[in-house]
Amino acid sequence: MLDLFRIQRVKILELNKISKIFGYGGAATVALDEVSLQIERGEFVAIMGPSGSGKTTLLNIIGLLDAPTLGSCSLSGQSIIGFSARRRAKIRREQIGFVFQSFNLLPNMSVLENVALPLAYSGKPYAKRLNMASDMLERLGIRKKEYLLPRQLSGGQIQRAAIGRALVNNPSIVVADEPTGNLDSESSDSIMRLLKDIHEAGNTILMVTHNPELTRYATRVIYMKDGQIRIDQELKKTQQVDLTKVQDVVRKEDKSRSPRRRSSAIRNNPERNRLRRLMRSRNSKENE
Amino acid sequence: MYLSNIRIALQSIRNTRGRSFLTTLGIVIGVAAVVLAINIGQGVQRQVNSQIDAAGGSLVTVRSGRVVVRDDEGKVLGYSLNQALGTATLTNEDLRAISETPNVANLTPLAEVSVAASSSEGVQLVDGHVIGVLPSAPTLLGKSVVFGSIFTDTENSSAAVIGSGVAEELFGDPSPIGRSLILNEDRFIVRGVFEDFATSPLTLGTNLNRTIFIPYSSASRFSEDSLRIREILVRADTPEDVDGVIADIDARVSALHGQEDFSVLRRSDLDFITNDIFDLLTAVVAAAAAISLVVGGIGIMNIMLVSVAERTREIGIRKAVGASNIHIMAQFLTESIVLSVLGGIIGVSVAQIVGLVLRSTTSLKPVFDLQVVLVTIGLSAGVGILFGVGPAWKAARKKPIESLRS
Repeated sequence: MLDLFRIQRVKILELNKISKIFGYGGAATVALDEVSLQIERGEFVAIMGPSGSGKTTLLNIIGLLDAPTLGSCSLSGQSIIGFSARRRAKIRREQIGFVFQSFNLLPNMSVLENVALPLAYSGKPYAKRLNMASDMLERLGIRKKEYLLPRQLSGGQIQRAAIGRALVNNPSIVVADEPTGNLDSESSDSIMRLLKDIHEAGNTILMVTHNPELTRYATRVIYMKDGQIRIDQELKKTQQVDLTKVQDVVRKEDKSRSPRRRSSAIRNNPERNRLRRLMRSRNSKENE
Repeated sequence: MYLSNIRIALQSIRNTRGRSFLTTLGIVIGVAAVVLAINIGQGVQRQVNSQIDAAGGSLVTVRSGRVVVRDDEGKVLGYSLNQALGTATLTNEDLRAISETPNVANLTPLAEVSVAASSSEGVQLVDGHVIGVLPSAPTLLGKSVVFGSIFTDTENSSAAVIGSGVAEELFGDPSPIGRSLILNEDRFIVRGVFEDFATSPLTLGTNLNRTIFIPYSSASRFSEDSLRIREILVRADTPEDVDGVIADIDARVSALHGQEDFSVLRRSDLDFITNDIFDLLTAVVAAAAAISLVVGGIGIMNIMLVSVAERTREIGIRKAVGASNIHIMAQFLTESIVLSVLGGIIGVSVAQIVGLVLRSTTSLKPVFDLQVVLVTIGLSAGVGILFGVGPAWKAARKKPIESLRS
């Protein structure tokens, strides 16, 4: 019984002290500061936090669109650090499904061709990939629109198609960056219900959002600030995060911390330590 | 994947129709110019060769002036155009000497006389020629008399055979047999009309379609002193006799003239002249082709760079859904190849159309050469690759995250 339980809780994603630094020297900003995170198969994780807290950077690193400066990361038990661009592309097309705030469908291709796009890169024959895409659109209820261009669809329908594109190659994890950010509340609800259905069908979803209401669809919520995960809690069914409460907690924590604590990534940067060691050894030689 | 790349390329070209058209225009013009120049060149060469072939392999031409420079073994080293256009130095005695040379089957002088020609109704022949020939002229010129017949030696010396152009211009009738011509004050009767002579733009001198052929004996009456002959056509008994005949003629005429103010040419000597001209022509065309294709290629490179910059977001999206650098590179490379090959195909078509127009309106006869077509289209594909690699590489190298942000 215990074994079965363990098999069900398979770690799909494991981040270990991931840091991301943009820029160089004095202009360097720490977007992620030693973030560690584990996500299990079948979770629906909502990532929240103010602008500039590193949510999107985290999502991009998980989606292999970006590489971390430091730290290790594994997807489905396989380390993905230091991979070539070709292998990263392969993982993106086989294991990751992206949903963007601005939909990002190609404007001069039909909805069907857009949904079939990831299959083209995995080498499926033309007719087969269009069939698979068409089946996907059927599941999402917009098959009637398959030969239209994205601009002929409403925002909610476009996002449905985009979700279809994310799911068509049966990824291990769906990564959604503010999927309802550009939608009105009605379309927004319908997209969230769709994501919930997809989650209930067994998919793992990682979603960045500003809207605390949407956390009621999630099973777990992560609150980020200044490149760090500050709160990570599991949610009961239809439970919703009280954002003001979360923010209060974080603010209190910040006050009790010393300001020096801010950037552990720079402080612990091995390059910096190596430089210090080098300088030390040179000084000691000169002294001799 | 290749097919879908071509599909994507065609779609993106369709989306930017105007721009793509202007881009390919460079290649179109370049390819059209190349194909047309080669086709015209080959057409002219073929026309020249067909004239020579009509005369046959055993033909020897004796020309006034030292037209060619030969080395000790008789190989032609050079060609002097000045000499070819110089005065006629061959005479009646030369003609007799040549006719007595062994192994000469037959011969005819081409002795041009300067007379005014008109029909009996008074229509003047402008820009025409009057040439005295022997009855063997049709076989030596390789053309037959289609209406009427050639005059014979014994016949009334005021018979004439005319070229088709003369028949048309003086009489407005393709076969004006029996009608009369006035040369200076003398009346000549049209006895026959030659079939069309192939004209080619590179032929020096006389357009035989606009020529009145009169008996050689009658021609001398228009000349105060002895008749000067520009050219004598000689046929040896067999092609194997040509060498001996040339040597004999050379010796005999040299003995009469005391100097080498004439040339004895064979068919292959003429080949040398035409081939030399065509080699030069081909080199010039090749250089022009290279330049125009490079210019066209730069145009394509330029537009591909613009396209890559404009479609950064598309590149980001494609990479996000799993396109690798190779996929992106292949996509943009395919697009530049499709652009340049389309340009090549349009260019070849334009060249064929212009060729047809030239064929029907001028004496040029451009040929359609499939090999040239395939080579030029292949060459434009090469240009597409050469100038497409840079932009495609630039597209492939874009970072997905930065591309998505654009």
